[in-house]
Amino acid sequence: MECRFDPTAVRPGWEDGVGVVMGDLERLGLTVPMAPRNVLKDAVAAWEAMGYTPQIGIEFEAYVMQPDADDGWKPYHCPGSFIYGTGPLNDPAGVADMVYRVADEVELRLESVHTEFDAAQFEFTLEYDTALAAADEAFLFRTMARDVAYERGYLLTFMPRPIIDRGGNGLHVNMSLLDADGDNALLDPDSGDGLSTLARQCIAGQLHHMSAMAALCAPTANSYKRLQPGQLSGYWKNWGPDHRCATVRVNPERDSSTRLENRMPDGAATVHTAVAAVLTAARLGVEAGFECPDPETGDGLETACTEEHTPDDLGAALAALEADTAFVEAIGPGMVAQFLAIKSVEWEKYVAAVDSVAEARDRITDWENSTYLPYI
Amino acid sequence: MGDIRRIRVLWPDHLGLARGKYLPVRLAERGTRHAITLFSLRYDRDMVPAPDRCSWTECPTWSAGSIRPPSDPAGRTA
Repeated sequence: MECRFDPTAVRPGWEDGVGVVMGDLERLGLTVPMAPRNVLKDAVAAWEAMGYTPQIGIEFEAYVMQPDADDGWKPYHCPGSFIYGTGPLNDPAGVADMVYRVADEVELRLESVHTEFDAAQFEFTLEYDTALAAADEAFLFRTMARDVAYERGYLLTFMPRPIIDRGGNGLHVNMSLLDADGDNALLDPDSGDGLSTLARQCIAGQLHHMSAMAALCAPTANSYKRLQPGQLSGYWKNWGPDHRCATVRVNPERDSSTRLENRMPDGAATVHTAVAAVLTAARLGVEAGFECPDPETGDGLETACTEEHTPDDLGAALAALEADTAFVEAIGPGMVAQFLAIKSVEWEKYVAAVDSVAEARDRITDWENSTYLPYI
Repeated sequence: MGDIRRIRVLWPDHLGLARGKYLPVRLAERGTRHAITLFSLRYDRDMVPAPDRCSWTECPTWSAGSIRPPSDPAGRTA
């Protein structure tokens, strides 16, 4: 297959004398259906056909790891760190700081960087943009960040849950929609909560197709160590205003920044595919005119207003994806068929490697560390 | 392209990996090629048979005009 790019789109990279550019895949003159960038282009085009321009903002969470005595990795030593921390106490060797510096140099647009809930965990929030541009930027940022950290002897891992006694790494996808006038179509000042019918249908679509989305947004056996109750991740089938234990969180502001944040995707997901999944599910909600359920009234930690949640494991998520024929048809049956083929074998390998899937739910197995940690 | 001497073309695959190549600037307009079968790879490099529903398993057609002289005089390559 051919990988084509626009030479005028080459931008400064983070290696001396090297420019970077996003490539597009074709075969026999046709776009490759499995290619995530093509999947996202189709998802965006479907919204544009309805008169809306999707805007996306990406938030990454990642752990800094340092070498241990056994040729493996252990969490970054930062005993003085705390959530929303900055400075050397939170980043003693300046790893996250170096990532920020290089991002600035190569104009990968970060909106903020700070420590996350657990020691050695950082959050990198990128500026919002149109969907494809935002996904490209996020993809390049993650590649750069891992390169920069590794050059300095550290592993920056976006693995969903690399350390069992610490929280997981999300890939939060924030979406909004611009109408033909360039205004935020999620807003309705005349509604009780300021959200438009469109916004509510987008929320409803994401919740309705949540189980099918899971495989694409949380695509590894390790993902389901993060998607558990009490993990501040998108576990419950719920939404809420400024609710960080809801799968779809709506920020409190009612202006151009109003957005729907899907907290289910994790760092193992292909950014373009995860964004396409969110946009497709939201669009299906609009096309079907789904009613939005009431917002979450529980804390999402010990109580929730629903008993429905993400699939319990990757195997269940793959089955849910295959079963949701409307979602599959909308996002791309060719891509889904190939994805299911790959991931089904991955799940079989995991099951064979553990004595019991249920027993392994509360630990990170050697199989996960050897399969995922070097690559995610 | 100023100080750029090499291009790192990148694209996301089905595993979230950043696939690509380094290319010299002088060959940028040609693009490059990859084996489509990499979409059958897992993290451990094992390959999974392509599902029946994937059209990318079809073989390309070729014409006599596409046969190029080989570096080995004993054979020809299409």
